[in-house]
Amino acid sequence: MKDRNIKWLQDELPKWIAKDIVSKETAHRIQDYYGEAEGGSALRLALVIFGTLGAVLIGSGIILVFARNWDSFSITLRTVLSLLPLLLGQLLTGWLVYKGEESRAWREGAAAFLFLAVGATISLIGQTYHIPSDRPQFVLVWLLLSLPSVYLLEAAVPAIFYIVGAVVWTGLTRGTVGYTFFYWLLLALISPFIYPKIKNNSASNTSLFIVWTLALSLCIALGIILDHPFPGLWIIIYSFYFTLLLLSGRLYSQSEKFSWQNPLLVIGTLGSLILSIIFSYQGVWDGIGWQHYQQALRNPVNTVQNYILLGLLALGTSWLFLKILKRRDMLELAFSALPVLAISGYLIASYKGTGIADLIFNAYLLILGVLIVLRGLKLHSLSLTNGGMLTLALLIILRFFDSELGFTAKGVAFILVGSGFLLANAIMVRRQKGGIR
Amino acid sequence: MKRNVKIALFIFMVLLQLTIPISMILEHQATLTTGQVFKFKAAPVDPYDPFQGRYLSINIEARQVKVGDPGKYRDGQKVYAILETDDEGYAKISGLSVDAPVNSPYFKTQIANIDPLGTVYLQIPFNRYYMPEAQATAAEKELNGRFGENAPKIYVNVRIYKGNAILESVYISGLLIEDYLKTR
Repeated sequence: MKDRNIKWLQDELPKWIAKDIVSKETAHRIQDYYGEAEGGSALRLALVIFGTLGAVLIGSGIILVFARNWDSFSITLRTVLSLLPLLLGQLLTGWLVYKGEESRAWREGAAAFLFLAVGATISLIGQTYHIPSDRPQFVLVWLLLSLPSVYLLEAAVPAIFYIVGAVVWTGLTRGTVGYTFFYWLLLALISPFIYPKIKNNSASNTSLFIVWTLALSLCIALGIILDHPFPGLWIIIYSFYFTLLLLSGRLYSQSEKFSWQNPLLVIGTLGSLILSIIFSYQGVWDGIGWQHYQQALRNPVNTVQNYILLGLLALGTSWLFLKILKRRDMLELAFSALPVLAISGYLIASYKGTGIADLIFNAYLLILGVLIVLRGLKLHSLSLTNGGMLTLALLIILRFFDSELGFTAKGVAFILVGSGFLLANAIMVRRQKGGIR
Repeated sequence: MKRNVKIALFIFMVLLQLTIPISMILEHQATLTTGQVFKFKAAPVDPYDPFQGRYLSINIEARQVKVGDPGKYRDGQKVYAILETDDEGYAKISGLSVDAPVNSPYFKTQIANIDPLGTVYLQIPFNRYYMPEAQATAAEKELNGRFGENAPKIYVNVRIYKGNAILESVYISGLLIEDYLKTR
């Protein structure tokens, strides 16, 4: 639905409720179904942002004021004061829930405040009694205690805090050889909030923020969680992950373009390119495969998790690939080849050692770069052309740095790459001007 | 979500959010009021914890114990450290136990590492003393520059009750750290 229509609907809904045409519940459901208007809501967005920022600042301010006079307070007073931010946050939340508050700014602000207050209270009590913090446990308790406010106030800011917090917890837990697979349970707890948001209106700012956070945090979490008994398994898992994002971005996002509106495509594409660059180095392929199977010192549950993850990612990517196959788009197909190449590289490297897999990826990057440039030229897209050129330039520069060629040869190569850039841009600009005329 | 459900969820959340901090308070308050006092020899260092502000990190000297059967234990294992007091009145760890001891004082902790000769090193759950930033910095300056003969004697008072240990106060050359800093 167009923004204009959604705005109209939002103006009309309160009138309908007033005249008893629809119930408040139904109005809510209609609003949820159509989502929020993107344009024109800048003022509301600003209110939300400043409301949240205000709440966060007030929360921190209260804590700082306490901290200034902390040592002159008795233990009892300190204890009462520790609970104060929490009680304030709860009161505010309770009042909003009781009123059935509609205002996004109030809800987000209160929920963000409550989230921080929970952490502050536990921390302050810890200080009062000189308890050394058990970091993973502290973060876990903080997250779980704050989670209900996300649902109560339907607020995205604490949901984003929560997603980030879940990764932080996983990292801390990994440090103490804990059960990192709890990360998935933590994500499962927030999914009833996230899923409808994304399903109903994946183009709203809220959904986009959540998808960005989720995709980036997963990218970090994968690295932490993987407890690969076969060294180098990350090569395959990350290849699947980024390809999965890229293909979903192409197939399911409302905007097919490479932009802020399409986080999956952006992260998927950049991730695939960066991975390919990493894979073009020989060192990556050194000492991987089952000859180097490490059985000792593994947490068995975490290990099983790797195989499940690998299976799911492979299934998901294959399914998307079958869908994308029908479109016969050269560039999409080329990007989809990444996991296949990664698996081949992995097999080759574990049998024959290094020297072949990295060569394959050098060739792959070359092909990708050329295909991106060609696509850019075809679509008259300056940014796409330059993206492709950048990929090629990076490949050439990196390989020349590695090589033992003399300065003259390197210099000439750089001049050629630079000229290529200028030439491509000049052609594009001329073409675009021609188009305008 | 229906309003009734929301209100119920709200009440549940409030109770949950209050239960944890309040139970923390009660547990530690009980230790502070009824716990037995032990003196531990110590030396401080001063790091910075981004979550909780300034504190003095205390290096407790008695953190290891020799055991006859090191194979019984592993790193990270939860154990009970049994305490006794030496001739000078300082506490020392006299043994380890997997179950809570009945007759002797003890605190709950984890094994940090075990050396092959049978010495078990423990994590000390009372190694932090929170102070206002300015004081912590002053304490650090005061204590770090002085070694050997010059080093002031430091010990801490720890309250122990049913395995729960709380660092109550830090003493430097026989004075409470707060008072000691005032004399400088």
